[in-house]
Amino acid sequence: MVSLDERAVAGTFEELSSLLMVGVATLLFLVSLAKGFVSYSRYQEENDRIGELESLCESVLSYEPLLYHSRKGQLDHSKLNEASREMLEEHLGKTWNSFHFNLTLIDVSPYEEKYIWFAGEELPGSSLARTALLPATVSNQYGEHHSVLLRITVWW
Amino acid sequence: MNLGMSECGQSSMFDAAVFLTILLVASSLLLNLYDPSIQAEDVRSFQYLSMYTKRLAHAAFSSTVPNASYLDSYGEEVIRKDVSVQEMVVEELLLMSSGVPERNFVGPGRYNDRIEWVLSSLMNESNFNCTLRGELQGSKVYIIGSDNIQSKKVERASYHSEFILPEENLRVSMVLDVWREAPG
Repeated sequence: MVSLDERAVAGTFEELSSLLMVGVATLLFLVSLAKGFVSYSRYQEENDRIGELESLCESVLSYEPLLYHSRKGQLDHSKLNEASREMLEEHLGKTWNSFHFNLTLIDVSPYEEKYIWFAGEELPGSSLARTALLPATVSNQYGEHHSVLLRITVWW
Repeated sequence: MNLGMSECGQSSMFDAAVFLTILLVASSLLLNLYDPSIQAEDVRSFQYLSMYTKRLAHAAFSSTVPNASYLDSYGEEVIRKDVSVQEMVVEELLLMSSGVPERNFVGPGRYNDRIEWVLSSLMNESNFNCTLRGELQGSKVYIIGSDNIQSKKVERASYHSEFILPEENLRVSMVLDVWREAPG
């Protein structure tokens, strides 16, 4: 036989606070799961972009029509012209159609005659861009090997 | 029906607290595990540094300068035109092994100055430093920098180039260290 008295505590006092704790815990877990997923996705995306830029750099440094005696990273000054610029743009444009790029050659050698070359598109004003500076050389028929920097910019 | 009372019962608050604790631990683990930059940053950074060092070495060693000079053993100035960094390092090592002092290659327009110029212009916009040393038959000579980075906490990659001079039958090494102060 169940007897009634006034000593019992209403179940809602305990259950509501338990429910609140469970709710808070679940919410925290879901938030951290979402945050982790977002940061992982961003990291993957960033990694892919760095990977794409790195592959592009390798392709430029080993693009045969520009090389001096087929030496990787050593460009031939006589091949840095309008025709090779178009060839390079076409070659790289076909391979990497997921982003835009441009390439600027900066001659940092102590020689008075400086080589300047540009390929690719102009960078629009507002773009998320990544830039790499590659050490290389430009060689000519006089036995001069100019130290140059290739500035490669990619944007999406 | 007769309901008895016992003090062995567990409060649902206790269950909820345990659940909360477990999920808090799981959440913090999840946040750390899903922050791959913590683990991958070092690897990526080192891969980049290695690749950069290799490219820098290829470009710098083959780069030439319009003119560079040194003082020979008689104190006469010798000027070389369109000489590459690699040729300068090898010549300097050979001359030093035959008794020409190191100071004869130091100063404006001298070999060491020109080599440093090439390297620093190629590294212009990077946040790296470099050390270049040559080794001839086991004796080391620092062309650029010194060996004091050994005692520093740095991120470093090295490019080692070794070849034999056929006429002298000597083994020559060039080692380019590219480094920066390690964060923290």
